[in-house]
Amino acid sequence: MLKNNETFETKIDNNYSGCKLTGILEENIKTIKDIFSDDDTLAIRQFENRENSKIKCCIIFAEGMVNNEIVNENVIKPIMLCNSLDYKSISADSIMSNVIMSNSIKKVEEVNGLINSILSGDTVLLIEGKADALLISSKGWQTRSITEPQAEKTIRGPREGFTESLMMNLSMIRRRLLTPNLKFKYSVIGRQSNTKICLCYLKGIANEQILRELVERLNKIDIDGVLDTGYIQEFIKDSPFSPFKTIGSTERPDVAAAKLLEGRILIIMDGTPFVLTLPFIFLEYFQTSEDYFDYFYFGSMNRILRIICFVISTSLPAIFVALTTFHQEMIPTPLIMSISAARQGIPFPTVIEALVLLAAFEILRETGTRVPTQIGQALSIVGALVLGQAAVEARFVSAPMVIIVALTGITGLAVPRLKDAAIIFRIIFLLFASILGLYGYIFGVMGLLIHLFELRSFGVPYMLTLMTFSTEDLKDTAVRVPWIYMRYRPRFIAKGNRIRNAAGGRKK
Amino acid sequence: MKIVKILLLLLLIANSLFLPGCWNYHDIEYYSIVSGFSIDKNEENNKYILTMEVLDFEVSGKEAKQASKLIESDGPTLLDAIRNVINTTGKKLYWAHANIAIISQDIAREGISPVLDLLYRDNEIREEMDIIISKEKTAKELLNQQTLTSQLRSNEIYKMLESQTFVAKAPEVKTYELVNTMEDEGISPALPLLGVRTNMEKRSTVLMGTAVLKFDKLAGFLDMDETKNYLLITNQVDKGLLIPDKMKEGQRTSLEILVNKTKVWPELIDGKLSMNIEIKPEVAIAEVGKSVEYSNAKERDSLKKSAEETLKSSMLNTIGKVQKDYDSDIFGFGRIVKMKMPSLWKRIDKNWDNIFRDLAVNVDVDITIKNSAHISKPITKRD
Repeated sequence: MLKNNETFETKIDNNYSGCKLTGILEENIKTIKDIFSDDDTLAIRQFENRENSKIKCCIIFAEGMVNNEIVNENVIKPIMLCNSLDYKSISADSIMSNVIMSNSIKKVEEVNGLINSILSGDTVLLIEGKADALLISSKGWQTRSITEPQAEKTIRGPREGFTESLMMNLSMIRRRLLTPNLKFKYSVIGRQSNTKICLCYLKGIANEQILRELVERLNKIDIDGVLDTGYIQEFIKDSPFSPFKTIGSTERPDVAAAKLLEGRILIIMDGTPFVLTLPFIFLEYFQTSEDYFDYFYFGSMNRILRIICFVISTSLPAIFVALTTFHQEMIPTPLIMSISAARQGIPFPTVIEALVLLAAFEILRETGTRVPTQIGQALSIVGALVLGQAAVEARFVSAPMVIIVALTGITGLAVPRLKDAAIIFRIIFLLFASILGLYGYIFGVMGLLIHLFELRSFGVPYMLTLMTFSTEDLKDTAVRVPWIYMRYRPRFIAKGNRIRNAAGGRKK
Repeated sequence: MKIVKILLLLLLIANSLFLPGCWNYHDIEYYSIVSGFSIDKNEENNKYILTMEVLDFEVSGKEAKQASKLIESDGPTLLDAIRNVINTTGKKLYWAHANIAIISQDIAREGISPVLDLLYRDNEIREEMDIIISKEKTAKELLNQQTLTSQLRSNEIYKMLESQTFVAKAPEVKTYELVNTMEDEGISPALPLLGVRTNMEKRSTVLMGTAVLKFDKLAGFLDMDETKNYLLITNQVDKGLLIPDKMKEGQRTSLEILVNKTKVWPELIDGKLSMNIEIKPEVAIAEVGKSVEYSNAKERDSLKKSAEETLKSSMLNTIGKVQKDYDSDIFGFGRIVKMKMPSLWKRIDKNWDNIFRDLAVNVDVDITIKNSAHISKPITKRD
């Protein structure tokens, strides 16, 4: 798939390609010290062989990045204690193969190659009189242990979540798909941060065109540092100004594996538990891993609920405003009586009321996610009592509008990944409805649909499976049919290798 | 060329924005919602007097209590009377939720079509409003009585008519049904009749049967039992009671109609037209006043017989009264003839009024007693 000449270019600011190692230990140490001047975390430890004090060595590493035990036991101890070393005959190769006990060790001749390794937690071994150095893998730092992701909880299904460590994440994916077809391709992004990223896909299922397009887009990124996959997402996204995501992200290895099996490609980055999945289509917003693990009735019901919630959350304020200010004849008489009673003496027009309350809800939500949990209680009391009750009792806002906004807000949280788009379209619909009533609302909906249908994610239509009336395409949409009937992978995404199961285990 | 296209597109969009008729943002609280209204005529200056019941609110602190308020306004035309309300209240009236329109007897005697025109033509007033004729002198006094169950009198009156399915003692007629009936051949409209009665020392409105119209003019009234016969003939009865005339035997028995099926067909015997009415109610014994065991087939049969006889004679009376006294084909016999015998109808339609007056009507009642509700025996002392 990826040919050798297609590997990613690495853009590094600090290039020391001119510097070469010399045969003199002190000089080499000085060279590295100069590069890391004013960096007190650089540790330099010189030592000699116990029997033959002419054999002088020096290890250099970044403090806190290495596992001290590995360095002590597998590097310093063997060299110090080995009594068969001869000053004349030793070389970097012989030490590498006879003395040092490490599963990953490399000989380097250029300074350039050392710098990144020191930064990423390797130990450099310099030997007196030799113009080459050994890179010994000794990475070891504290990482967060594997926990269940906070944002994507499930009741049924694996409890693992990705962590900030790239290797750990890769191992979690690897453990789920034990096949050599699972490919991992490393690359580095960020001139200063030199962040390691990894492309992951299943060979033979993933669409090669998409993969090539992705590599091309990734190569175009030129930025000083990336701290989360969100940076990459914004760089390589189609329609960058659309409120809808065309690249998905997940914190769950089981979701990542499922996406791989459908032919999608993952971008995993060191330092963040969020893994990008692409291409991403609209319906993936409404899918959770639980839909597939639970019985399909329950899964389908939940999915339909989520879709209804999205509709309510975008449309309810607009429809309410349209009905109460334009089409009063459409409201049943008892209802219009109580709405009218509730609105008596309210000083603001209905639209302003709706906008203010929606803003208040967003403020509550935003402060709720930022404040420490100890203050959260005060927040909810103030939010619920002051806004909800006192404002209604003082006749600043009407009770029906509070109900409408509360329902809008709650339903908006049912599909948390869609909340940004939902907020934007809620406001747009509301303004349209306040100008033209239901007619304007329908205008807004038409605009939304046109926008959704013209979106593409890496060449794949965003509304994939919703544009045709083929039953095969509709099997994993609002309803998730039993696995025995889901024989095919999604079109366009897994081109050329679409058969997912052969309906095995099904009673004939 | 491209600019022209874009301009045309903009023009299209602008048109679709400004021409759909959805205009005017109006907050709900600036409307006075009309729940019902009555129409009278001032004989002295020949103006319409419009009395509207509007939904009003008494705001005190956090509570907003619903209250009913009457507004009176007059004008040479109805629409003028409606617009004149603004002069007194400042609020615009909202008519889409008006449930009932009460028309005074005087107007009904002169003809209701001038009044009906606005109710049918205006885009804000609903076509499924209930039209009612006042039995009292004026129509507005009906809106001025005390309510028993609901805040709004109009609502209460509307509910009375809605619930007629359980008693079948007054017809419910919507504006569009009334207009359809008026425009149709061989049928005359009948409207519910509303009057005032003292109920527990409070004067309140009560349904009093049917107003029989001839085209658009009031011809006479039917009381509630006659109304039930009328509804039975026109197959509008779903539920309701049949009381067999056994009072002289000291029996108070109620039969509840479960299902009713009425068939009406014309018959031409020796060039003489007659109507056959077959009424087949299925009933349940709902109340037994004297200890008669209706589990006994013979007793049941006698009950059935007497009920059938009572109903038949009372129906013949009603039909006769409508034919002779009111001369208005509210049963739609003419329409049935038109449907079943179109060629005959072409010959007689001009003369239908005269034919209807002397039309022979045969009534055949066949009651089926289905059950006796929860108990099979009357309450008796056990031996």
